[in-house]
Amino acid sequence: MDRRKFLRYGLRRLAVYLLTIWGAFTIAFVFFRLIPGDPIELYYRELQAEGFSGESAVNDAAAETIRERIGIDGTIIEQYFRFMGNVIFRAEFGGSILAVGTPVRDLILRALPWTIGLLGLSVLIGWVLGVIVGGLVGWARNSPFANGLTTISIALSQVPQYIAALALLYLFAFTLAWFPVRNAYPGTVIPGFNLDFIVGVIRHGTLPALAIIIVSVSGWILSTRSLVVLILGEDYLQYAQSKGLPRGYLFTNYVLRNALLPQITALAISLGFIVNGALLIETLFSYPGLGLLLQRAVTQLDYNTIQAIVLISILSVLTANFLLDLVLPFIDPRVRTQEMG
Amino acid sequence: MTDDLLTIRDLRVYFHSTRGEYKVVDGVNLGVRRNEILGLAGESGSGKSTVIEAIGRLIEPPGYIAAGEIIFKPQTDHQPTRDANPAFESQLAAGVDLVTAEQPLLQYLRWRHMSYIPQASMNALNPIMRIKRQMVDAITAHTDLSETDAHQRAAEVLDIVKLPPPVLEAYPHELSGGMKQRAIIAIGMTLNPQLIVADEPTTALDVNVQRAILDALLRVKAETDASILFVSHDLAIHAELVDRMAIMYAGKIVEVSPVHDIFAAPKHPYTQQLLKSAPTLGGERVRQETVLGRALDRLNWPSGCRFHQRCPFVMERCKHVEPPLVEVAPGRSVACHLHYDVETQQVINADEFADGRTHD
Repeated sequence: MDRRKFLRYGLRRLAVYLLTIWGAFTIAFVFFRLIPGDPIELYYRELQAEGFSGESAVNDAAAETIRERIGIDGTIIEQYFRFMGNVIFRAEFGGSILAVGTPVRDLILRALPWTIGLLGLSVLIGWVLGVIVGGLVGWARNSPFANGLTTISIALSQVPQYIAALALLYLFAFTLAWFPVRNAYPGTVIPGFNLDFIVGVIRHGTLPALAIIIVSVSGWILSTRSLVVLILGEDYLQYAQSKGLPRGYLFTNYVLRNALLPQITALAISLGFIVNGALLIETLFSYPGLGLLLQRAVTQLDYNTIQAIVLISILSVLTANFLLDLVLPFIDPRVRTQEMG
Repeated sequence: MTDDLLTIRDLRVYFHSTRGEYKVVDGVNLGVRRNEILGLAGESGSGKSTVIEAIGRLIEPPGYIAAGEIIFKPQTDHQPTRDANPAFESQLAAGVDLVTAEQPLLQYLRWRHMSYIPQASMNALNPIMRIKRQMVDAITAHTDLSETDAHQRAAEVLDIVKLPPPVLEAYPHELSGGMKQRAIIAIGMTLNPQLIVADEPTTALDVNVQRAILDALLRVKAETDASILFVSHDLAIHAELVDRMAIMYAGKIVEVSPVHDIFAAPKHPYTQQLLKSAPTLGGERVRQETVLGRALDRLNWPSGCRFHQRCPFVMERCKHVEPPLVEVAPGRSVACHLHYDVETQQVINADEFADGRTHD
């Protein structure tokens, strides 16, 4: 591929990417200001409800201090520029209410690896399994085994993830007690590069990962299968068959490779959405990732933390699409011609 | 038993549906001789392409071969350099029925002895594979040629169809329709098969490209001793290209003759009407004749001769008795009661019908 053409294409994509981030962040900023009610007052009422014995009304000076700390003082324009400057150039999301004294950035940085590890890996494993099995099921579409697997996949793909999670929890954690119920690792081990910790992480991650994989793999099986069945009707496959090529080669080079292209796009999109997907699973398993953090932030009306997580989920969707744009020309020659002339 | 390269006997290909069996090909008899170009003509829906797909064993469900045999008998000392399988080769030398052949034998003989040029060659190439790969994969699957030698061979056959070597590195979407079509003809020639079945390879191409493709096919026949079974509904192309011509109607062959004879004096009333419907260059401006009536319902063919509802010479017998395909003159076969009396088993000299006069 022509290096200069690719560079030009990449820069064009990068410009679009940055512009979209700016637009999406601006919209997010506006939406957050549109939420009715004063967060300070809500926070104060919350404290009173919990039996906090202080002044009965919000002290103006105290409120102003808290406003400053979470960045909602001054006019809307001032707020906007401060917000953009902080978020984009310093990755600074302000102080949290969830853990007073800890910046939101630290909360996020603590939670993010768990989400990426659990959700990212589960989505990836589900995709690889689903594409391979779905490819084979489509290839052998008239065999009873393939039909059975398709029927099972149709059923499983309609199960909501939280139902699968609850079923697994009930069966393997409560009834059989093979796996732990909550957290990402046992409280008794020291996080770090040691065997106890690694085994603990795997044991704690198994059930939530399974819940995600069981549901997602059946979806990938169905979509890959239908792609393969379409390809089986393509003229180029009939022609390749007439050439007397070995069946294994036909499957990998003609069927699977063509089915893979749309599936790679779909994978990138679902990887972009893992932050959204984390909410239910992480809450059910008390898994200390972004999803659980978001759940806690929402219940405690932690304005800055919610905002930060929303921004990160926007960013991850856009980044996944940007990376996909960069990868596609390498795997699909038609995109190469179309985009780079 | 004849020594034809390909002998089709009573081939029936049906398509299953909830309304019944679509008898798309319903009793075809046809032979392809060695080193000839046999043309197969007929209107849309007459079953031409299905015959071709049956020969390649490419019929997909709900279609199936309901009856008949397709005996393929290539001369196996043809290409000694290939990594030939002696067991398969001796089977082939004795003649193999393609309808019942097992997958390993089919995979073995495909491309080595018989290649296929598909109808929709716009989409016949894998869109994400270079032309080179799609030529070389067939070569390496069937021979022990090295990758380099296979490339060499690929460039050679591209040259026969007048495509320059850079085409090897191209992806299908970078080629024009005519170039793709020629590339496919080239791919069909890579292993010098004895039989090339071509399904409308010139349809939808402009006349210049058609010319190039016809020349390429004629060169293949001349240079490799191959036989070509050529399907087209374009009669002008048949006239230029083929040695013998078979006319198909309603899932059956109605007439087979040397191409010159068929154009000079068509015997079957359908052939006569078909030829009259083709325009000619020069002469008076006349209103073009058409074949009367509509194409038939393939679920329920009419009884007797399938052409009787559209035939200007229809007799009582035509409505009840199906005429067999019989040789009525040297090299000329026709399935029509005007030319053969099934009761006395005598050929009727029916030349007075040849010019299309009605007999009233």
